[in-house]
Amino acid sequence: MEVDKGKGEAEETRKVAEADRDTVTLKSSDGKLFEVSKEAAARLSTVLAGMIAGGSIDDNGTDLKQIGSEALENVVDYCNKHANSIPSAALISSSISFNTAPFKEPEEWERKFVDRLSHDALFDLVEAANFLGMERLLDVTCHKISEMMKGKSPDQIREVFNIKNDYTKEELEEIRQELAWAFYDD
Amino acid sequence: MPDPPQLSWSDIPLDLAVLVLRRLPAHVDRVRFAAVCPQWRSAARQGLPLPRPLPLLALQDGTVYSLPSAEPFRLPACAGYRDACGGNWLFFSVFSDIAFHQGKLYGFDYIRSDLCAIDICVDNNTDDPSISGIRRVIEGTSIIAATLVDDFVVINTVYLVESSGALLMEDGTVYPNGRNEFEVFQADFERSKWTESATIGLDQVLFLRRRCSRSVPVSQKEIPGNCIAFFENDDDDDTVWYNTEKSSSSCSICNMKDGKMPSILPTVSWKRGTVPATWLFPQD
Repeated sequence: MEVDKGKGEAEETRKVAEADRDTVTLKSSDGKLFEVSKEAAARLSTVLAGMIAGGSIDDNGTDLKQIGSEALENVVDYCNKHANSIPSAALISSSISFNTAPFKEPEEWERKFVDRLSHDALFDLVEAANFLGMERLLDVTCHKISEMMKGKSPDQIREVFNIKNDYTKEELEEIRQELAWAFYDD
Repeated sequence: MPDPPQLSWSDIPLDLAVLVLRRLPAHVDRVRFAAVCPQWRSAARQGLPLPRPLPLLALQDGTVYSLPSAEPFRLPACAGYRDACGGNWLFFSVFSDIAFHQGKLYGFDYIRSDLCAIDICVDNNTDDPSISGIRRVIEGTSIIAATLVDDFVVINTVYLVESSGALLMEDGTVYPNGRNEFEVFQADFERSKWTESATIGLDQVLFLRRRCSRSVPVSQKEIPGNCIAFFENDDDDDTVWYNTEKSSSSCSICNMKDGKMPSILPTVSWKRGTVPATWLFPQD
């Protein structure tokens, strides 16, 4: 997916100047600035919550050197959308344990949010969510990734995720014999 | 800084790979995940806690469905199996169903409707197990095997299964119009009685098959809990109670609360043979 490059640094800087205390400014690895709802950032990201609470937020843009601008834009977009959405009853009551941890289904808008992403953007976003300690966004992205795998053979999964089959011939034969039943091309 | 042209999903951090695995309830999908690349294989083999996968549905001809996926597989090694438990349980024909509960074996005596504890000891020399005693722990209930309703035989099938630390009895009734109904009871060992229970737990699905029933925890959103999955005409013992004219069988699922049927089972029916269809539970 092509990210809108119109959101250049100049525009972001102008936004920052207008920012009030309800937002924080985040800076991507490639130096782009993004503004995000402080409340949503603190609620959705344990890392950002810690930074806000600890006063380590830089008004000129808090450096997030591990996250590229495309991924950060998606993170910020997600947080801001979340700030505006009303959590459904299902989300609030999702305390049923799935063996070890609560399992939350994505909301309709969250599905759409990840559905529009390219595979590379999804990959970057899941890593960014992991880095920022965003449990909910991790749920949503990992759910999407699992949906992309369901019912597919290993070959089809490799194709979807652009994974090279770098098993040795021997290893592959071993897997095939072990698990012959689980492959479509058996 | 230009992005690398193709990111490699095989390099996804281990904890993220496990998060994805957790969301694959079908055993077959997990197996395939582990076969994609060495990195994912090692992620799947880390032994990190994963929700138990759903069982597989195995038919006598070797057709296997990995629930909740609808696509059937061939599992030739599975064709022509002799019994669902693989062992010789002939002795237990006096019991309509048996189940382990907290390491002990229990049997439901169909004739007397008693719940019995079956004590097993192991011969020190041969390692062969044998029965050292059978004790009645809950006396006969009102459950009877078959009744007449408007001149039709109404068949009951009783199952035992351990679920969330309790021993449950499911009394399934098949009405002449094909409708199935289950009543669930929980064993109260202290008071030696059954307590009727309206629910089996919002995050549990009971997969019933005599002598190998199991309770499987599920995510309530993706796969609704409080459900019982069962086989129609689960009557392989061919006892006097049953009308053996029915030549086909199928499986079904119903929600204890609203009677709805979540779509985790394939719509399939099969000709009844000498051995029944069964659930296969992947190892934890």
